[in-house]
Amino acid sequence: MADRENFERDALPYAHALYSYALRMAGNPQDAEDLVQETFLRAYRSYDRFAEGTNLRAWLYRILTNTYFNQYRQRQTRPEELSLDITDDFYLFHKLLPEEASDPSLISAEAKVVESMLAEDVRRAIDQLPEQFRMPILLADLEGFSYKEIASMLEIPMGTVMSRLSRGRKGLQKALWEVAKKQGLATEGSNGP
Amino acid sequence: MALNKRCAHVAALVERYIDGELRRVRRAQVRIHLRNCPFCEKALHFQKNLRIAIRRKVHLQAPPELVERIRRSLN
Repeated sequence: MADRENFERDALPYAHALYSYALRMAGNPQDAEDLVQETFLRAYRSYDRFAEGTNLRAWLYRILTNTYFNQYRQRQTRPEELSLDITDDFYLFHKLLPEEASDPSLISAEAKVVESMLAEDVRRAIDQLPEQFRMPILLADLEGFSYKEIASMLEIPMGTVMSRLSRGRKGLQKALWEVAKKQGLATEGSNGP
Repeated sequence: MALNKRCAHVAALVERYIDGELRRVRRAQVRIHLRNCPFCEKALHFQKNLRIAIRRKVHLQAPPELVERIRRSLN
């Protein structure tokens, strides 16, 4: 049996981050809690096979992702595509630029617009992304995993990780722009490239 | 906003630059351009801050009873 004390000390602190990820994947708190608990149980059962010195955090995320695929995902239909009519990597930045801002020194910290958004609106914008785009975004932008780690967790080629991240991030920026407009944090007519 | 060819080239690499996924030569190319182009530099900062802002909105504490439940289930 695995060393419970070591496992609790090393793995349990990741419960919060895993819960945030699980919630965005499972879509509701009850499933997210079950998913995290199942992840820890599975991890604990195979903890003696976990190689010391490898990345415990990445290992836990991989178990959670697998558990999600095996137990929760079957309720979903086929992965949706993301219809996207934008090609600009800086979509939101350009949208938030005032028309007259040709002098870069006049551009203030527009990311504050996102800071002022309601958390639930930002979360909804993420939740609305099709799963195949949402997962790499959560793993890269929120959890800071490398393309290689994400490719291995999702069992897809690195090139696919990159293209899904690129499309997903554009889709997210577009959704956030809609939130900004709806909340009156920005107005239509801002400059676009 | 004048985007020259160089800016467009760098714009296409910025996400991978932030991700730390560019090889050394390309990373250096981007860094040099950013040093000389205040507009692209602003755009880079925006993208970085955007991620931080999103992260803040999405990260939650797990319910305390969940951590307790996990602890008990390891018994």
